Amino acid sequence: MRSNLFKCAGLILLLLLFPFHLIFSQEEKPPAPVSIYSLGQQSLSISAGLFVPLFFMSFDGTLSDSTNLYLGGSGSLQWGVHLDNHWLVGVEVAGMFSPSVQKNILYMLPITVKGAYSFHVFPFEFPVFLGMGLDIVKYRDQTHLNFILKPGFSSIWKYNVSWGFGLNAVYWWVPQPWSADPQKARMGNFLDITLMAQYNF
Amino acid sequence: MKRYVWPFILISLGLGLASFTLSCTDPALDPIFYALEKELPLEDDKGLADDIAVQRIAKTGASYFLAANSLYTRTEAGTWSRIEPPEAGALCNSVEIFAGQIVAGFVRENGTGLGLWQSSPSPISWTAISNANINAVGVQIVMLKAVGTNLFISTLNGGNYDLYYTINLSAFSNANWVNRSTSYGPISDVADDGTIGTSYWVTQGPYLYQDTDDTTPDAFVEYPGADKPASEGKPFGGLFYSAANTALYLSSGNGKLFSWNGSSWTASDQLKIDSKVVPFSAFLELPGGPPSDMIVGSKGYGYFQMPGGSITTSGLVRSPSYNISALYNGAINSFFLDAALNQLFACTSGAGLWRADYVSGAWQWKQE
Repeated sequence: MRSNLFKCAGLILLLLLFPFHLIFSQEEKPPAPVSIYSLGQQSLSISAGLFVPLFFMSFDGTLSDSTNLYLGGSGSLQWGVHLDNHWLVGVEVAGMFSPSVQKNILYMLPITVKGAYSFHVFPFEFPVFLGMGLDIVKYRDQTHLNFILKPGFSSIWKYNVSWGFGLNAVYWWVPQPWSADPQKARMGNFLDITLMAQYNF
Repeated sequence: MKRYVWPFILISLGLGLASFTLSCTDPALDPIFYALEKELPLEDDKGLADDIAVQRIAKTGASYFLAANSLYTRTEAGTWSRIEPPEAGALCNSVEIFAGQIVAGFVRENGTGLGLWQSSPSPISWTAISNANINAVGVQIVMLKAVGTNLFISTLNGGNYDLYYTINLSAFSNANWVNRSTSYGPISDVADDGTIGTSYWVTQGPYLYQDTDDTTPDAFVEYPGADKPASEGKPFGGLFYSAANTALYLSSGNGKLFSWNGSSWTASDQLKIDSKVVPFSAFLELPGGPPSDMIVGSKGYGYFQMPGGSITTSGLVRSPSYNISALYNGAINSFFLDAALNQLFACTSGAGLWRADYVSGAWQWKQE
């Protein structure tokens, strides 16, 4: 009888220890996606960082030997409005400076309209965007108004609902046609890498 | 959603359209990216400060001599070094090579003239020119120029400007004036008209004088012709005779250029930039021709190319490229052409000495 009691106790103990929850548990559903932005929400962002002159190219595809420009600086201010949780449209005013080998300074001031699509991987956002508009280019006694395209992407860490901080990488493509002498027409290719702060409201 | 998107689409189209239609571009200048692509480093440090005022440069043998408040020298491959003046602290703003000698005018630091001095190019050992007029106490030398077999010396003594000449640095004669305006100004230049005439010409302030006997410049009269170059009260800049172009050139501070063909003067239109008259200065003839291309300096607008030596202002090309801003906006006192090395020098007020090397069909400027 005593051995039977021990056998029963042992069986009961085994049953208690057995992971029954694994047999009878159901597959967990992923949490419902969090919708951060909605139509009409606005954002303001400011950025500053490095400006990298890449290369000039003529319209027949010939690359120039050098831009004769050194690393410079750039910054921007952007206002946008969210269309939904992913899409944003906005306006950006940026500026840059870069010294040349002759110690003159190249200035550019692009004013662009942007459209962006954000990928959300909480607590991060990864907007991919394209801006286009007008670029005021000034160098010594010469000033141009050129078209500009600015594709780019950002990595933003959402500190909280309102604030985000991150990094931008933006390509600047500036065609500079010259009807007086088409041989002198060039396309400017540049890159800016900036830190940014974003406020949503 | 659409009411949020359409304004941005319209704004972007507007900005893009504006970039193609609006323009504050100067079509006379190169486009910016092209100009940047062609830039070259400007510095070629030969030991001079970038902001000094350089009056004149001359060369004998393989040595250059530079008058820039002090007198400097360098060899063709060397750097500039200062030459000690005949009196400690004396300044020098005029230099010429004549009869194998360096001839230079010195001024004491307190502004009183130290007269005219000569030395062999090497070693430097100054000897005062012995002449009572040129080396009187307080006489300043304001211009030195070798023209033909003569060395012309312009002096400032007690507020009066005078002109002397010599053929041997021993005997000096006064260039006599038959009639000279009582409104004296600095005597800025002297030239003869070579094979197209028989005259010496002198500019003093806004006045042009001629001596029709080019063997002995001792009877200058103010040019009387109806075609007299008019400078409208502004001082004349420079005189230059070009054998290749068979013309004597004259520049003025009122934006005009003149040329003399041996019998009459022709005037150009007035050149203005941004509504301001361009004050022209010295000329230089470039190798090649006939006809030879020339350049004419200015006070604050760099220099201008004169294709074929034409004085027509519509054909002048402002130079150098606008991105070489110190020279593009420079005040040029004089030029010097080293034909042996195919190098061009520009002496400026406040922007130092510039040297151009002729490379691949273009003059490439560097600052010494």
